[in-house]
Amino acid sequence: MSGPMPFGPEELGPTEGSELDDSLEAIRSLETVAADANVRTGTAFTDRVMAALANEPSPAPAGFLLPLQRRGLLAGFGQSVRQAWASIGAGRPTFARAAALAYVLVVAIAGTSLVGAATFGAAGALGLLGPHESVAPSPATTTAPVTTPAPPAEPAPTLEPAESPEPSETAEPSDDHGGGGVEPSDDHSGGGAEPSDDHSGSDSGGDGSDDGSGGSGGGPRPSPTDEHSGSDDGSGSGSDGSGSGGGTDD
Amino acid sequence: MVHAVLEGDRDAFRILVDRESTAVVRACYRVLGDMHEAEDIAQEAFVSAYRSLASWRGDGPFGAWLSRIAVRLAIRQASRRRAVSWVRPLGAADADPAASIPAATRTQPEQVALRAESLSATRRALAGLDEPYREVVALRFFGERSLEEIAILTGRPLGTVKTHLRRGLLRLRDGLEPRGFA
Repeated sequence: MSGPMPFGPEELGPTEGSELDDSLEAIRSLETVAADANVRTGTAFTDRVMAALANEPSPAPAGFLLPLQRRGLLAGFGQSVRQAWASIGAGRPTFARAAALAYVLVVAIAGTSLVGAATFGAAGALGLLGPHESVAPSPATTTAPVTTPAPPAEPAPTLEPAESPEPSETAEPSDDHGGGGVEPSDDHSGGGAEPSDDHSGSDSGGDGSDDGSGGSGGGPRPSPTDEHSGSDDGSGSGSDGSGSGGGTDD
Repeated sequence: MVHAVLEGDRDAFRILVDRESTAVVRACYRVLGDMHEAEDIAQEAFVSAYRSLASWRGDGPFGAWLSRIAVRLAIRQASRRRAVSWVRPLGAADADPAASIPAATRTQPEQVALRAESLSATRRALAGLDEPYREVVALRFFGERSLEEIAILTGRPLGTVKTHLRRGLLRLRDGLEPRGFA
């Protein structure tokens, strides 16, 4: 054993007599304790210390990155994160702990993002997300029919044009055609006003007999030519019940 | 050597442990008076030093830095435990208190007990000192460090360290006196 370092009174600096005596008494007690320690350590103690350090990351400030450098990005990644996590614990310099904590957080956030994106992508690939998307548009389509009834409402007002005198004027030429038509104007007006379905109703109910023309629904156009054609056809075209009128023409 | 450890060479640290372990365990034993406890604390000191190696400034011997860590841990451990004095049986291993007793009286149990109690009282008195006196006294007499090394380790002027040592010794003697061991 190596004994304690020999103590010289000069180490105390300037001291008075009584203080020096008291100090020397204390020193003798301490040296007795120091001389008592006959200690030898061997490889067993070294092995024990190295075993305790087995899972410790490198003491360098960013020592947790060393596995990445040595083993490569993929092989060393797990060990790197493990060492960084271990470095967060107490017993290390603050800077090293902060760096390790930042590294772990970055890895955790990046990992969570990747897993989330991969899950989303996989779900999309498997079609798990499809129903959700189709459901969303469906309300839109259902609302569309709701709005579509509105246009039918328009025809209702279209009935009004039946009353409008304008078509009747156009119907005048048809009068020529109609020839014997007693009231062709009326008929035409009905037909001319609206080529639409309404028209047919009027035709059928009324004197389709007069002018198939009216019924012919050539009606869509108030022009006389059309009416003629319609009448010629005698058309049963009369989808609108015009058929009846046609018959009369012939 | 320390640079090699910082670059991840664990074998380099093994060499450091081999070189410093005896002094570290001895310092811990002087503070604690129990070999098993001293080895535990010494191991803790090496682990702590390994973790903090990057913070070592290199402005003094590595062994001095290591001794400061070990002495601090040992003093903290000594302050924690109860005031129990351990009397080793005769024929026990190396650190037998009876070893320094003259052979003629070595076999007398009361002599062994008194000596063990004296050593224990000194350790207790040291553990009861306030900082920074405790650290300076322990490093000087148990850690076997010179005052210049202590000044570097603690970052204090040499004159201040001397003053702390002197006052620490006087307080230590005052702590021993009531028990009649001084």
